Amino acid sequence: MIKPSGGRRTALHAHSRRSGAAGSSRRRPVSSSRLGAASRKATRQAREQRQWRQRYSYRNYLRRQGPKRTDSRAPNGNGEEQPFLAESTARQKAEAPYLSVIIPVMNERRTIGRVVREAARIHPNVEVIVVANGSRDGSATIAARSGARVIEYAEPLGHDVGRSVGAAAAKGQVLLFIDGDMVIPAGSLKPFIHAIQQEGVDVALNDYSGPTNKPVVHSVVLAKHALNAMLGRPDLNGTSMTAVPHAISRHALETIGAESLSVPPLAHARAVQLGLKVRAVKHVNVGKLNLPRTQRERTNPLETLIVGDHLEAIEWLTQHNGIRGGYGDTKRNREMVR
Amino acid sequence: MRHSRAMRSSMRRKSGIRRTRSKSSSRLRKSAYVLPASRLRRAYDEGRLAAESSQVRTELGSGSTPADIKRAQLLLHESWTRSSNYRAGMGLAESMLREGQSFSAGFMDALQLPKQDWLPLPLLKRAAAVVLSCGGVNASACLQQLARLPLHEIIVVMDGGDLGSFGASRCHPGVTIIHIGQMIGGDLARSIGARLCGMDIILFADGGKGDRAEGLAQLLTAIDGGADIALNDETERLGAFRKWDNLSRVKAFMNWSLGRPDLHANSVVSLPHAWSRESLLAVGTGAIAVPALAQQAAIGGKLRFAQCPCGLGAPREDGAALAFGDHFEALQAAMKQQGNRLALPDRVRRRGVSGGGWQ
Repeated sequence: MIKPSGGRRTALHAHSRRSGAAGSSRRRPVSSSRLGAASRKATRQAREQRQWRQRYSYRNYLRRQGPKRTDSRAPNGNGEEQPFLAESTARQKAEAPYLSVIIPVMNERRTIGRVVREAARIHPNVEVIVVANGSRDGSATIAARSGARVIEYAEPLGHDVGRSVGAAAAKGQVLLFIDGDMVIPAGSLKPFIHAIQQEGVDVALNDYSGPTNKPVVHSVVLAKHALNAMLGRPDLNGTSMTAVPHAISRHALETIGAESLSVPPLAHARAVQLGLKVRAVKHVNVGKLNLPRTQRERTNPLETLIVGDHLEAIEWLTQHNGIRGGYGDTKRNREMVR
Repeated sequence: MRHSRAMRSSMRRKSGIRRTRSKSSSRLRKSAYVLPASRLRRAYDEGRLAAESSQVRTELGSGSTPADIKRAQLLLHESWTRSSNYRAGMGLAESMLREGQSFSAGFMDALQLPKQDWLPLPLLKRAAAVVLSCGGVNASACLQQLARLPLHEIIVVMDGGDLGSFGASRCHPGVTIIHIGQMIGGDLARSIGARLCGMDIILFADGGKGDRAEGLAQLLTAIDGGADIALNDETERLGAFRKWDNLSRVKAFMNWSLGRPDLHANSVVSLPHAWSRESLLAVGTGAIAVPALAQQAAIGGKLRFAQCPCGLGAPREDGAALAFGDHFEALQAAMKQQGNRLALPDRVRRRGVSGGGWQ
């Protein structure tokens, strides 16, 4: 959040450090639905405390003073302290953003505000695109109020189609994909951008392979591992563009095409096959952050959809590389047994 | 096997003690089952009786050539199948194998033939084995184990083997060797062996592995009991998923996508396994040259799979690149029949919105 070295040692800096420490507790994701009644009470108390702090903290007092005062806090725009959101969106209008954060949203009122704010803290020159589809709980309004650019659809587009829509509208050189239902701290998202910016990676994946320390794994975990093995990249294990967060460069987007992002395993197969630099960058345990959705799983299991996506990826590979997916059949003389 | 009266009574006492202990302690109950000596003795006596019957006497010559020994082995298995009250589909218990060995001892004693380490197996169908010896591996260990089983035919298909490996297989009596001068690729050899084999049960074994006959016997019994394909259950041996090899992951994924998640990573891609003759003809002997395609055809044809706890060693992953290509082919073949997402349709996405017109 705040690096102690390399900063301007001023009185203002000292302020920001204090307020930064106060703000850190706010960014801790809490999934109250998994906890018991006692923990829920504790969560509620923590929330009230947080709100109290937000209302009366010195930093927010400074924010309420208006843009002039905030400007003086970070005159270069590249200081450690991120500029206030409203101001940063104002500046974005002037220049093209470096980073586009794409967040598909459907009825995620509980978390979307925090997700957008975290996304805006990743980079000084950022645009946050929220693709709200089929939302009826005011998620879009909350997102817009939090400073995001909202693309709204009345009907649900379907799983991951929002990614394509957001990517087509994005202007940044780097595109980061996250979900609206889990709050990932900006500090955990920065390495994905860094890998593309500094290390020349085209597709920076979440180094998360799912729970694999058991003999029988979930079918989606199995499909991801199998696809990577078939792509000749067993080192990627179970990492995939299916999982958030992941970031891609503009070059990668142009190579694989925005439309393929709707079927993430297809996009993943294209990225590996078309020679992009795909790498697992950082471990973010999204399995833990993901909320259990018993109702959805009962009526429309995601499992079959995602395994089917992997089959589509394999179909594309056979179209692109021949019927054997690029593997040879040199040794066998099949005519002998016909 | 003949004991004095005092010794017999002591054996009875011993076995009695064991049984009472195993009832009292749960830890002991889990220990290996101890077959009562009386049952082994009964099997031994039955073996003697069977050997003395007129049918065996007339069929068996007095010589001791390898061919005579082989005939004796098949007669022994026939008699054991009759006297063990075996019915198709009852599986193969450990006790059945032990009693069979006692039966064999009695049978050979009565005929005054040298003792053998055969594994008498009650089977109603006739079985054969196809041994794949690829790239000049020495199939001796495998053939030694197969000789213990009641097989009517053993065919070794040599794929580009040199004279050394050819000689090693030649040493074993009653083995048909198909020697092809050139490399044809290991899986093609399956097809060639299957085509030449005319038995009801066809066991495919890896010449380089030397799997124990006790494990292979499970496969034969499963087919005899009515299964179409008997696979070696590898899932337990593979352990936690993160330690699986890549080919096993791909095999498990294909089984899952084709609607057989219960098969896990078990597939006819790996050896050993056994087919029934009808199912092999239904899939086509030519089709098993690409093992993954055969697996896909077998699942598509709703064949009955049996997964046997053979306790056999790790499969080799030398032809992995070839096998990956096979799985692409197999999935492609399935997609031609069922559409590109097989039985997993996408009903939720509005793909027109994202500008994708690829489906």
